[in-house]
Amino acid sequence: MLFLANWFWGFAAVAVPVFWLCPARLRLAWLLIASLVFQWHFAGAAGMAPVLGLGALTWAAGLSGQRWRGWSAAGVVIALLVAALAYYKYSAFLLASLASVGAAIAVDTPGWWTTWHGPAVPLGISFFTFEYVHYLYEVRVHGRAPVRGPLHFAVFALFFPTLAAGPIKRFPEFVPQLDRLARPDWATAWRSIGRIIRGLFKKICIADLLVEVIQPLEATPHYTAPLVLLLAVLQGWRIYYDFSGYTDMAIGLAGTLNLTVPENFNRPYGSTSLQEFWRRWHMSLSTWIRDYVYIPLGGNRTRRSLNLLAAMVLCGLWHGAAWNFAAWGLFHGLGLAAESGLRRVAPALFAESLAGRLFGWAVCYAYVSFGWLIFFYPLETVGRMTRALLVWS
Amino acid sequence: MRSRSALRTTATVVVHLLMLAAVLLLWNSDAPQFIYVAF
Repeated sequence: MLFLANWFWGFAAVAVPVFWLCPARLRLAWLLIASLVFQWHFAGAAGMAPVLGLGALTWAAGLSGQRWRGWSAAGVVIALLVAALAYYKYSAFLLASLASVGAAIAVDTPGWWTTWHGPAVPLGISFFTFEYVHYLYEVRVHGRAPVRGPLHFAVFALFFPTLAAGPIKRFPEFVPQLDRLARPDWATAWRSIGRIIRGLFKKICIADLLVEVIQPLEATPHYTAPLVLLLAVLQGWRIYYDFSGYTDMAIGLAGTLNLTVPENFNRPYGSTSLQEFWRRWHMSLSTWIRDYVYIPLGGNRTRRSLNLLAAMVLCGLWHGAAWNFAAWGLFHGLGLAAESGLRRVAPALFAESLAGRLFGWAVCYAYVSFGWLIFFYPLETVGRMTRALLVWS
Repeated sequence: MRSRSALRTTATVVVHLLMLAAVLLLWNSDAPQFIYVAF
C-alpha cells in the first residue's frame, strides 16, 4: 500500500514536521532515521539487508581505487548488483524458461527448476540497484567525486519518498542538497502539499476508477476489435495516472523536505513520435537506460538499431520477469529502430506542419496504446486480441 | 493585476480542496497497489 497505507500518513505526519522543527545539524540524521523506519515497516528485516548490504558495498567501492585481477572494485560491485537483481527478481523466471527450453529439446532438467518460486523480492530493488550502478559508473567512468560521508550516501540510498518506486535519482543532483538541508518556505511547502493532493487524486479518483471499468471488460469471454481498442486506451490512461500519481506524491513528499528529485513525466501522450514519447515517459528510467546501456553499447555511433533493440528489451525486462515485458520492450525497440530508419529515408513523414504533427501523434498514440496490451496481458491473450483487431471481429 | 493573481490563488486552493474531498470520499484501504511498486 505504501503511500496509501494509513500507517504511512501517521509516519509522514511525524517525519515531516520533526524535520522542519529539528536543528539544522540534525536534519540529515533525522532523514536517515525516518527512511530506516519506513524501510523497516514496509520491507521488514529481510528486506533491509539487500539495500543496506549492497549500499555499503557500493559506497566502499566508490571510495576504493583497488583492483582485483584486472577488475576495479566498482566493476566487481556493479557485477554483484546485477547478480543480486538477477537472483532476487529473475532467477525463478530464468530457471522456468530454461526448463521449458530443455523440455522442448528433450533435455532433462532438475524438477525444482519449474517449482522454485525464488526469494522474496526486496522492496524497491529495481530502483536502488539502478541508483547504485549509476553511482559507481559516474564515479569510475566519468570521474565524478565519490560521496565521502556515509550518512550522505545512506540518505541517497534510502530516501523514503523515492525508495519504493523512484523517481531514480542522480547523486550529483541529490547529494549536494543534503549539505544545505533547510525548512522549506511556505510557497514550497504549499506547492509540495498541492502536488501530493494531485498525486492522490490521480491514483484514487482516476487510476483506481479506471480499474473498476477495465476489470469487467477483461472478463468478457470473447474479445471484439472495439473492446480491444477500448482496453488498450483505458490501460494506457490507467498506468499513466497510477504511476504519475505515485511520482507526484514522491516529488511532493521530497518537496516538503525541501529536496528536489527528478521528474518522470512530461505529457507523454502528446508525443508526435516514439522518440519523443520516450523522452517524456518515465524519464528517470529512460535517461538511465540511455546513459548506462544504450550509449555504452555504442549509441548512435555503431549498430544503432541493434543497440536500440537491446536497450529496450532490457527496459522491458526491468519491469518484470515475464516474456510479455520482454516483448513489450522489443515492440518499442522495433518501433524506435523503424522510426529512426524512416527519419533518414522519408523525412517528410516527420514534417513540423500541423498535419505532419497530427499524423505523427496518431501513429505514436496508436503504437504506444497497442503496446500497453503487450505490457498488461500474457502473450497468448495478446495474440487473441491482435486476431480480433486484424479481422475486425 | 493583483486581483487576478488573488483569483487564481483562490481557484487553485478551491480545486485542491475539491480534489482532497474526492480523495477522502473515495478512500479505500484495500485500493490496488501502485503498479510500479511491484517492479
